[in-house]
Amino acid sequence: MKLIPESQCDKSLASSLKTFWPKQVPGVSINGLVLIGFEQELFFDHQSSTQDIELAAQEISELYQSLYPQPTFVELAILAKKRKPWFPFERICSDFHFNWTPTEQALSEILVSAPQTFQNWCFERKVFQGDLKPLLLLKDPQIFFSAFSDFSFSKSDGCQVIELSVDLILRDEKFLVHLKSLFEKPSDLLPALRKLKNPLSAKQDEIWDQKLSLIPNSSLQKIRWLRQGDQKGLEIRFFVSHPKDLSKHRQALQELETSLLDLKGTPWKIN
Amino acid sequence: MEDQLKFSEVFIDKKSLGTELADRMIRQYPNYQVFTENVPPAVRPVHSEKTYEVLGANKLNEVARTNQITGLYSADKISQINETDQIDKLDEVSGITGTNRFNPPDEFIQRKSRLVVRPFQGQFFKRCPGASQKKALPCCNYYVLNLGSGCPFDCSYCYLQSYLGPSDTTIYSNLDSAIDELQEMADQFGHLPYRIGTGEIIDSLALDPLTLFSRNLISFFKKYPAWTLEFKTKSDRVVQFLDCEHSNNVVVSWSINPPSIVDSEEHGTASLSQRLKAAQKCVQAGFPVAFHIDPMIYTADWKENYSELVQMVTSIFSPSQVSVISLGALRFQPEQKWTMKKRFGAKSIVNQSEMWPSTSGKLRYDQDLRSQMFQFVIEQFKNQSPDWKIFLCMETPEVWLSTTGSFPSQNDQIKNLFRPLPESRPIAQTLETT
Ligand code: SF4
Repeated sequence: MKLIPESQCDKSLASSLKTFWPKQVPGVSINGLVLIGFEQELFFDHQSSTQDIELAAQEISELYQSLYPQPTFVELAILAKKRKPWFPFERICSDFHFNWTPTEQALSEILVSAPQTFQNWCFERKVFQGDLKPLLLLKDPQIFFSAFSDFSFSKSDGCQVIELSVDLILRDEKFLVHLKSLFEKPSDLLPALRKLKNPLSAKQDEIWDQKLSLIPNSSLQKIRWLRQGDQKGLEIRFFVSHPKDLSKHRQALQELETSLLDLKGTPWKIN
Repeated sequence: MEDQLKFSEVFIDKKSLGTELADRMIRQYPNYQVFTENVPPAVRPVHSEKTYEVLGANKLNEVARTNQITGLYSADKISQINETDQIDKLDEVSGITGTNRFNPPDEFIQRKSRLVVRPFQGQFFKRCPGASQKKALPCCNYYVLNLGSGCPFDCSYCYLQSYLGPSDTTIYSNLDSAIDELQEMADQFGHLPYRIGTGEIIDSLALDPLTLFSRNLISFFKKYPAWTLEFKTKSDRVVQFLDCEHSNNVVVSWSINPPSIVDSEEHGTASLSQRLKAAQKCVQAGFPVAFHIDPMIYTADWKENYSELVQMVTSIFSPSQVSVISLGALRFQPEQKWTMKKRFGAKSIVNQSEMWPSTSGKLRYDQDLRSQMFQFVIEQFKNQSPDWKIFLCMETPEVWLSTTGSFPSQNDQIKNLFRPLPESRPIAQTLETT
């Protein structure tokens, strides 16, 4: 490796992703192509020591793996898109036991043309290609991105937003036009999307939320209408500081049972 | 159904040559190819870039389904499709990928239209998946005998999409090995009431006019009247075995759904009335029949749909002619939903369903909705006659209880199905019955 200045480097692999690299350490390049530390002015440049293509690919792959021990999908997507023809991308994927199929290729195309906020979200939250697969179903994924200029969800919420939104776009592209009117604060978005995606269940939940609000409040227990997977029911929470408290709760539970049975219809059936 | 036995390519393993099955295939498909070791890979579909970009893969598949075209996407087929005015008549398949050049045309349809004949090296005989989920689902002691894999039909909800992925329609040429396995089991437990089905990863009868496996199996089961053999199908292909002598222990069963669901979701299968007519033929020939109303599919008018179905069944059959009716509701592995959406689009009823993760890991309807749907169908049957024998397939104890008021082991009509039986040796388990 020799030290080369920025002027002799190709920074075409640079992106908006904030890959960590210590400020005091020169970046690293291969044959002048910068792999990491894009902000630096000096670079350790690796020149292949062999004419053998296989061996050279192995060297580059080993270097890449030492710099990126666990690359995120978005990093690989950018590499796939911007690499030079000589860059052994397939070898790197295979060394990571990463099967780069046409699906990954299609997803990477979508990802590199996604807004930077979305790319950064994928990077920071270590989003897998599987989480992004719904986007493949869209004729024009930009429809999705244009609706979410700021994508700042947790990983789990963000993945659900993608999945639910794609489902709804497939049903009716116009739903995105009204999206903004569906929620006031970002935390309202997911419930709003779930409601749109599952209107039948949402209606049932609403009915039973209302019915439960008619039940006299118990100061002892907290009651909530809850959906858990394919089942729904009541979550009842109470706190016991002394074994004797349990008798009070038993009494309160009996009262609750009577109130529930008095309700018209039953929460356990869809009427 | 006319195109049911047409295949774009037929491959016969060299090791299968000389078997009765291979001889029959060769007569039927003179353009067959012989292979050794591996089946030649499917050539990725060729398509005219322009057509593909304009129409999109799913639209072309719709065209294919509408026109019953197999072996899609060769350039000449595409130009034929272009020349028809069918395309104009197609509904817009909203929002579906197609213009994306990395998203290839439907490989499932392409692979289904390839018929492969080869010997099978593994274990033919397996326990039904219910047995592997004994804690979550009551087990009805069902065993499966796999004599092939892959299916020429194309139901939108088919679990083979995630279980096998795109796969050739394959039939095994070494039926004798399967019979040997059965014999081994029969030597030990021939007196016990085992139930064995052949329709797990292939439709039992869709290819039977070619294979004639039914005739061999009926003759084997004749010696073991305590055992029951079940052929499970969505075809109407039964005439090839109707003359066989049997011990009244061969049940021919149909997965059925209301006509509107068959039309929209069960592509390439026989219509409901064709299936019921075939069942009538079996009854006339003295074969017990059964019906699986599975998967029940929710729509806004599901009650009308399933009333119509019950009406059609009860107007033709009496309870004494139908050994059992099973009910099951739509369910599939979570990862399958994207394949279904990609292949069948947002307009497919199954893709509009509200599905929730269940304890078994599959996506299912809300438990109460399932229970309500089952109750409704059971009531419809019982209103006609209390003698209909009905049970739930792949359902949780909670749903059994809320639907029927009892567990299967407490129900006099069906408790024998759920009585535990011994196993002769460890038997592999499978994922799901079709
Ligand atoms: S559900 Fe059954 S009949 Fe339909 S495609 Fe699958 S295996 Fe074939």
